[in-house]
Amino acid sequence: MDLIERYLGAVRWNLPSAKAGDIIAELADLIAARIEDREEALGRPLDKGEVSQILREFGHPLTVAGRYHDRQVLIGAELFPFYWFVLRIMLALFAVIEAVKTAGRIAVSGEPFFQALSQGLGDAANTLLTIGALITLAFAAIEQAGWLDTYLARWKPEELPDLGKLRLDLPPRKRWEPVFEIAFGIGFLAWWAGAFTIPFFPHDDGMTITAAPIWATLYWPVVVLVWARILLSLVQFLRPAWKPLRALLILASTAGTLAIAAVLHAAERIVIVAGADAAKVAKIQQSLDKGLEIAVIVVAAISAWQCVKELYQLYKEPR
Amino acid sequence: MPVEEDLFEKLRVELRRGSLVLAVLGALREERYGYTLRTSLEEAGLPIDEGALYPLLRRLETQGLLTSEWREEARRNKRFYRLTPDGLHVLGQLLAEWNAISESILRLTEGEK
Repeated sequence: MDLIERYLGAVRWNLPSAKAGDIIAELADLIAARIEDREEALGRPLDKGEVSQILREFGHPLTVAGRYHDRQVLIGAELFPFYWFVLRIMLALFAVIEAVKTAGRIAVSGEPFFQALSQGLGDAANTLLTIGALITLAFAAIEQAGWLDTYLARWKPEELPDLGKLRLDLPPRKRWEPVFEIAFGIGFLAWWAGAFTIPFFPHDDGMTITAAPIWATLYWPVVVLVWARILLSLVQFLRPAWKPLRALLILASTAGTLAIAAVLHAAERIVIVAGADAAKVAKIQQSLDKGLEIAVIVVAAISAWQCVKELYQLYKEPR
Repeated sequence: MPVEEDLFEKLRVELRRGSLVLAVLGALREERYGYTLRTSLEEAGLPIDEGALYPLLRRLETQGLLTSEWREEARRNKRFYRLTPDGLHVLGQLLAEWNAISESILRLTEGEK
């Protein structure tokens, strides 16, 4: 009897609490009936091993209790292909972002190679696990809420991304260009937000070059600008037919770049040089001020030219 | 190449799974106690795992197709199940569907005989 109580106790532990008492009472009765039948057939009481065998036939307590729960799967068979698709895309995207971040760290952070690499791989593993967990939780919530049924009831073939055409018509380099732009954009944002640092200049002679205060003012405009470019790449990849939106994003991001360039041009300094040797500091500051002033104008000009080129290419695209 | 035994078993289990609800509803046109329900299904050639049967009975009861009550019999408290009027109606619909499927399969496989 001790064995049966132990078994039922283990089942009860995992049952929905509101129904546990009732279910256990029924299971206890069924086990007793099964034992009685077996004893009747054998003409003698069952020994402990035989009772244990009957309980094994009933099933593992977790399996038995699990069947009484309304929810038996985290993500059902219908939702699984959607989950798997999103998981693969997101993991691939974040793997590229992490690779960009790690490469950036190795190339410019000045950390020893293996230290930068192991730190980068550790960060990548953390990010990918977190992304995987968040997507799994999100899809578990979708399963629970039954949103897939709502989506399946109203999806239209016309809304599917035009990936087939994009892949067939374009050369491989062009085909995946938007995806790399997205990954690099997100990698840049990670750096911009302080995920890793890039020293502006070698630290020799106690000389340092840091960003001027104007960059604090430009922090959010730059974030918005990069997101606009990411959005443009996304639309270009998934909805190439949305030409008006693409044109709008090209114009908006160019206007943003020009506005940021104008602010930088008007600023007294873009970087600040500091060091012990005042004469050397002044000399480097002066040449950097001059060089960066020209660089800002060149960037603005390239951006305007790029805008014209992109709009022309958009206009020339078939359809 | 002969179909592997475990593949056949998997397909067989899948095929039977849907029909068990029909069998349980059919058997419960008359009141039965869980244990005798299982033995009667087994005797009729439809053995069902206990771990699956009792949760199924609970689910059908929650769906309003069955009703149950505890009663003492042979000095033990037992839970008896039977069909509700809704359950009887659904059973009729499912039987009609079952017969239609059966006829379709027969028509489709007649040439195989």
